[in-house]
Amino acid sequence: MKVRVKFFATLKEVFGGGEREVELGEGANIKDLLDTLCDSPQCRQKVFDDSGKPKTRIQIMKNRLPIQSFDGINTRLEEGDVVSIIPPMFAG
Amino acid sequence: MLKGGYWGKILWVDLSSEKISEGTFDEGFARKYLGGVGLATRIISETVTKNTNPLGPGNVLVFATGPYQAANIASAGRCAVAAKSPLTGYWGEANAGGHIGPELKRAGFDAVVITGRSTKAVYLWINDGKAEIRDASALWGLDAVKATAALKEAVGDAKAAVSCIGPGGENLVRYACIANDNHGYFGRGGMGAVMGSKNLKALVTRGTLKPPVADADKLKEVYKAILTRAKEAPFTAVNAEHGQAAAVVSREENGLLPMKNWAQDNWVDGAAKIGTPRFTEELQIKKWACPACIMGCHRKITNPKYITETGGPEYETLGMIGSNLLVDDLAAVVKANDLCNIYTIDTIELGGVLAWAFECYEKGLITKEDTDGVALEWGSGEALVKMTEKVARREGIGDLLAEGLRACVDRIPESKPFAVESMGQAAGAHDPRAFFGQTITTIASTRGSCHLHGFAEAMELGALLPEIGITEAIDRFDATKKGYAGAIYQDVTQFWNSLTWCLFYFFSGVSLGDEVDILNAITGWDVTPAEAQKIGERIVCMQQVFNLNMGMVPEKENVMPERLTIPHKEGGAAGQVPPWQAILKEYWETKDWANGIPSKAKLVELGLGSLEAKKALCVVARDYKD
Repeated sequence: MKVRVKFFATLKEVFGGGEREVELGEGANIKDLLDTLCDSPQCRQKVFDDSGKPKTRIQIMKNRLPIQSFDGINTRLEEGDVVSIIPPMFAG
Repeated sequence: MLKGGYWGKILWVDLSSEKISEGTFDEGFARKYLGGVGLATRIISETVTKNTNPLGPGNVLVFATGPYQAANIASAGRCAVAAKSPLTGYWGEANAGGHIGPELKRAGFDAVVITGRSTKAVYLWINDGKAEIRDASALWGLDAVKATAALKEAVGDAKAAVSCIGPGGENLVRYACIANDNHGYFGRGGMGAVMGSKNLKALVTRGTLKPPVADADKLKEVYKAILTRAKEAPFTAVNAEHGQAAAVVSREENGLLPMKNWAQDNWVDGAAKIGTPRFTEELQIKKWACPACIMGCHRKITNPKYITETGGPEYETLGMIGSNLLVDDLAAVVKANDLCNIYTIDTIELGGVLAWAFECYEKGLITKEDTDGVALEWGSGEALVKMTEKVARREGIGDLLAEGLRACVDRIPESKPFAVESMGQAAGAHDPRAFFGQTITTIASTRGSCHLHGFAEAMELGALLPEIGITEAIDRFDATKKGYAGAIYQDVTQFWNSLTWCLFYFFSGVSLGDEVDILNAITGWDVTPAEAQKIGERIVCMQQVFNLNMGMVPEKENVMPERLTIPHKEGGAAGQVPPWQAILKEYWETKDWANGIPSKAKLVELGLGSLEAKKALCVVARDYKD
């Protein structure tokens, strides 16, 4: 299945653009998507902490809803889903 | 003995008697209150009472620098101003960038305390150890841009720092701000109205003296390492390229951005029109930096179509008079922001008040008859600009709106459920439903609702304080330790605001330990991060006692606005509401404030044993020893 991923702010540079389509196996979840996206040590360092878990400071939405509303990083994905990934952004 | 960072001198100016005098403070006082808002808190706590009219001669207005202004380092282009707020009746405080901080310090003073009221319009000219009250009759009525130019000419020095008010301050708009060289603004709490009430048009400062630094070699060494790290931080580059507008689009996505008086879930197309990259490209933005700053987060608009003589809108402004009113007309937002700058109006408060008015209009509680024919329709840039003018001039309904949200609700009581304020001050553009860490700063800041004091959103985003035990980020929708974190970040914020430095450097990899290293090099002290937090805690505690003295009942004032207790149905914070009562309880427990009232043991621990809650202190001191 294919899902669309939107990157914001500094993650655009890390992932080489603002948007990307990603091919995943059936039944894949957010964690699988992040593993697929982070194909270099630089990318992994930006998204995962030292213990291998996605950083809590990164905000992830599926179809514009927070993944905490579903099953967190275990949230299942389906064909055509849009996932937004936002790094920490400070402004006041 | 003060070895560095301070002159140990406070300039006292009584506008009623036109008497100018100097006070002193010693090292013990400096180490206890630091400077900036800390110094101002101590002075105002001793001189202002419950009976003091914030817009009367009895209010005390303090401009204060900290030890950082003694050194020409990035982030030191800051200054604090404080007084009893005419908007809330409680503690009032604003912090801003610009030239006034470094210039005031180089002029030979750590702070200026202004009392009384002049019988005519005046400005205060402070220059290399001397101060003079000068006539400003010809300047009264001028906007901030024109007044700034005229004042620089009047003192014959283009490098003089001008902190002035425009018509908003003169007309006592209760959320009037103070403009610093058309660049930075003392925004919150109505400090500009306090100046207006004193017939004080401006402070003009210029200094060429060299403030003492205890260990210049050490400062050079620690600063070089810290600066190198800050330059490499991603946040520094983003802030330099786009300024704070960079956050609009992502915050629409994650739910932090206020939309339609905090009631709307999504605004994708609108955010794209006022946020980056369009903001940067369309306005042809250039960075505009405070002295010595490597970021330059302020924005200079260079597109001739939009050109203004003041700084361009920043995140809070784009959120409060843009998305919160659903105005996606970037030209209108730029225009209204510029009007606020030249008239000296706080854009955050204006956005909160206008969003209330737009919703009243939608609900039929305000009609065109009330607005002189202006249709307060969501998304109307024309209404935004016209109402900004009306507020600044107190014309028609602008006279009511200039009084702030509490007065508005008094006039239309059924509007209370959608007046988004705490302690009478509108919330900043950081929705606590999207980041539970914003709960404390939204409802329990000592200066009324704000987005900065106790902003544990920083912890949720990974800006940690490992030196004092904040070692991990906790998910934005997890309430665990959010009251505790709110208390700790509040302490640290007031430590920063007393240094006085720019908190953006915290997001560029400068740690609490780094700040303390700089402080120690400047002052010759051996402050630890734990002591730094304790200094901040002391200052927050004094401000709370001040508020209690003013009659504040914490259980009634530290309440989440009703609108923010209703979850979004969609969007990046859908379904989420922070358990604010539990978070507040944990915050009070962390502070050792039973229901918001500091215990006697806590006051003694903080070296504030002479303070007692609900007991006014009226001892006017000029020379401080601790």
